[in-house]
Amino acid sequence: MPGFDFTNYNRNAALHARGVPLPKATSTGTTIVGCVYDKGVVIAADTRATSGPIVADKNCEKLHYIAPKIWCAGAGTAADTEFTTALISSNVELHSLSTGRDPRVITCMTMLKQHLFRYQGHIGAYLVVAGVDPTGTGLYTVHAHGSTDKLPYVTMGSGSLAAMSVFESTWQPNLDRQGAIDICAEAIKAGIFNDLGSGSNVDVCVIEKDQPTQLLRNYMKPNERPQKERNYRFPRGTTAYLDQRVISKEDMKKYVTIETLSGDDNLATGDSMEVDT
Amino acid sequence: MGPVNFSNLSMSNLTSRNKRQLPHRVRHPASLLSIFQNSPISRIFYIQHFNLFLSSCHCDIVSRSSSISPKMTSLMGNQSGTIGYSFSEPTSANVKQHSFYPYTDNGGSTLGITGADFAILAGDTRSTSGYNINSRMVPKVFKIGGDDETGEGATIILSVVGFAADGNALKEKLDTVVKMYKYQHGKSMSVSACAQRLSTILYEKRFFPYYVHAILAGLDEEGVGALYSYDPVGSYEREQCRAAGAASSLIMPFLDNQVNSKNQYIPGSGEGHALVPKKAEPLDKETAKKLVQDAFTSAVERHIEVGDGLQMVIVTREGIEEVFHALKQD
Amino acid sequence: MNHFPEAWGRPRNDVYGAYDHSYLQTTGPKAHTSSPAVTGTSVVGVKFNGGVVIATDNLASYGSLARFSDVKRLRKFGDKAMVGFGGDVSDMQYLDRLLDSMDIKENYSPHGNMLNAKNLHTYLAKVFYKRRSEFNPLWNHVLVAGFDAEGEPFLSSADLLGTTFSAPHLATGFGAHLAVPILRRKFPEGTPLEQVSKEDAIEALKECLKVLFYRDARSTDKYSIAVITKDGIELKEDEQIQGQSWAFAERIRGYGAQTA
Repeated sequence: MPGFDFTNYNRNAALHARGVPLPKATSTGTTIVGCVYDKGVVIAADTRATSGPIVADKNCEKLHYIAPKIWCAGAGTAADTEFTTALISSNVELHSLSTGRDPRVITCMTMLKQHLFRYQGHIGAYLVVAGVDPTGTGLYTVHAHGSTDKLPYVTMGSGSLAAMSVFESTWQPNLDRQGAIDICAEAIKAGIFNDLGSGSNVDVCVIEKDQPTQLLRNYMKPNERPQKERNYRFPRGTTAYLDQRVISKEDMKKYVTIETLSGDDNLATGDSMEVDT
Repeated sequence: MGPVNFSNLSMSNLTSRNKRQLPHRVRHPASLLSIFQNSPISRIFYIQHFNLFLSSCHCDIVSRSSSISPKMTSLMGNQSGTIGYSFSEPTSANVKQHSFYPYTDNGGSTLGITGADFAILAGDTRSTSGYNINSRMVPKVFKIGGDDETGEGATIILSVVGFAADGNALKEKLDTVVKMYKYQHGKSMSVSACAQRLSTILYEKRFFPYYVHAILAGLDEEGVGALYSYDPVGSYEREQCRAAGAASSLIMPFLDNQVNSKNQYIPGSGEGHALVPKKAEPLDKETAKKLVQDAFTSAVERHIEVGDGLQMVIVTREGIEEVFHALKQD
Repeated sequence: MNHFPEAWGRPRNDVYGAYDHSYLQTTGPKAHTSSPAVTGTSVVGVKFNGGVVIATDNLASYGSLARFSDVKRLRKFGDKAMVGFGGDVSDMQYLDRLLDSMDIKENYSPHGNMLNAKNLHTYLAKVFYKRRSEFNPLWNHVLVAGFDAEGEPFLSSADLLGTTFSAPHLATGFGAHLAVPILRRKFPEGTPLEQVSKEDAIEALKECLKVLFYRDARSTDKYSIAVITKDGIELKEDEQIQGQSWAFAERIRGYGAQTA
């Protein structure tokens, strides 16, 4: 039986009643926006993930893939946005394969709202769904309780009011591609600088008919950390230890297979950590 | 007025009613707890009196009782004294309570470092409420006992972080006290005397506290940097360095490591337990200033309520120097 | 009926149960305003080169009801300062009376009313702080606009808890979320005041009021605006938001699959 496992529900409810606090979920207290233009649609997001007042991730990705021409910006509980979009993405692809047609944004939006409505808001995903399909461009918001909205420009998340202030004061009909990107980026920046739940960089995704979808990751980086005043590199041996054991490569080979990679830097994936030299 | 202000005695209920707790300094972690869990009747009454007479024990009893929900309380303690049906709400002695909560948290962080001939107090200049930025320029460090409105001629500085309105009231009160001292005695108040007085000002409002974490700094009688840090109800201590406020838990470990050389050992000085810990060396002013800057730029990276500007106030024998640096605004 | 006259005419205990004395409190805390009733929404203000502009709309709501549509929430203090009130209207009227009586008292003194906006703000903040400390708050969030002792433009905020802060542009209530981002974009915090003209400041405020009318469900399109300069206060109380655009609505059909 697919779905969630409720085995510990009663235990947790009892614990909570006795004062045990609920575990903190990483929430993308966020600014996400979307805006249609003459040939397509743009969505954008900031890149801060928070856990209470602490910044959990300074450069997270809130633009989720659904289909090649349908993307989704997510606010709310990080895990819920990630898993919900992944699930719908999977179902949309199966649906597309079975019908032999390109998936439609409205289909995706309906699947999302029916999924979220079933869970009565307990799945905390607040989404902006955007895309281009044979019927035209689509831009929707989906709330965690399952309600949806269709508008030429939308905002969501804790920075939605700051972002909406940009749209309400500068939006005009018949924007072109760059105009839509600019207004979305400006709206995200309003969220980044006025809402504490949003911060760091601007991610943009442009979806246009007959054009490959462009994910402009870190389209703007208005918050780079300044150079530190001091160097915090410790001399080797600063940290105390009680015992040391050296395991040679030869010994390791007894337990695992070792494959030596070339020293090419391109092999490294993911962001490298900032370290004092 | 007497030594302790009782005018708001009933307000201590507030602490137990609301989930947010004042970060009291705790010395006896939970040794008294069992008493209260087993005799829940008038728990708050006991707590008030315990706190009064055993001031050194103002520990987390209050916070524990708050974690027990109202339902649990009614199960544990027979409040009304009558046996009713499950559907009849006990009405007697159930005082209806206010929904007004007199505190808010304005975020931000402060930090102080002292050296042989200086003391630095620093704070960010952001004021927040919820996820909003009220203003990007609200200083948290004040000159105390100056000759005029600008604070000219002061030798003592105070930083306050927490509830800004309480912080302001506290600053004004201490400022007045230090000024009156000067007028009445014809000499400036020493930092140690001012520190003691600040403690009593805070404790006067023991049952309706100033929701602030204060740090007082200046130069002592020998001209050495002096720094005193306080909890909201007046417990205080002289220290080398202290971080307070929203990002204190991020900054304090950094200070322990860099100022007091905690967790650092002299490489090659021995094996295992024989390894010699690195001794803390007194900082010079410039190094301390750089540490303060790095502490804040780092706190800005990881705490959403810290940012916008850094205010640094430095006391030396030459007087008080004040500098501002920009911080990230996101 | 029983033989005790004090029980005559009262609901009988055996029929109605004992009287619930919790409604007639004789001990415990006194009941004060613990929630506002008739309320005003945002106040917005901006400093410019040589003065301050401040504006509010003219609505007083009763919950979600737009109850009074012609309530002036900008009040003059003497001829030097303005106060914009958000929050409870009855508390606003009390404070207005308090400030009026202070103005009159000051004017009877030999030097006349010398209090500037900064003094007024300090006073109001202390009134708020005192009342919150007595657990009897004045349920308002106000902006005070005018000049300080040095003759520099002054704009500062005070709320029901006594919290104060000041900035080149401020807004209370919903405006703190919607108007402040607009103002910060137009006049970033570092901008020298000399570069902000009176006309730009007024335009920006009108833009803010328009966006607030679009998105704040407790707002209206009738507003008051006051320009405070060295020459005095220019107060207009019956303005109407101009140039509204509902162009975005043209293409909207339903909230999902509907197309016609």
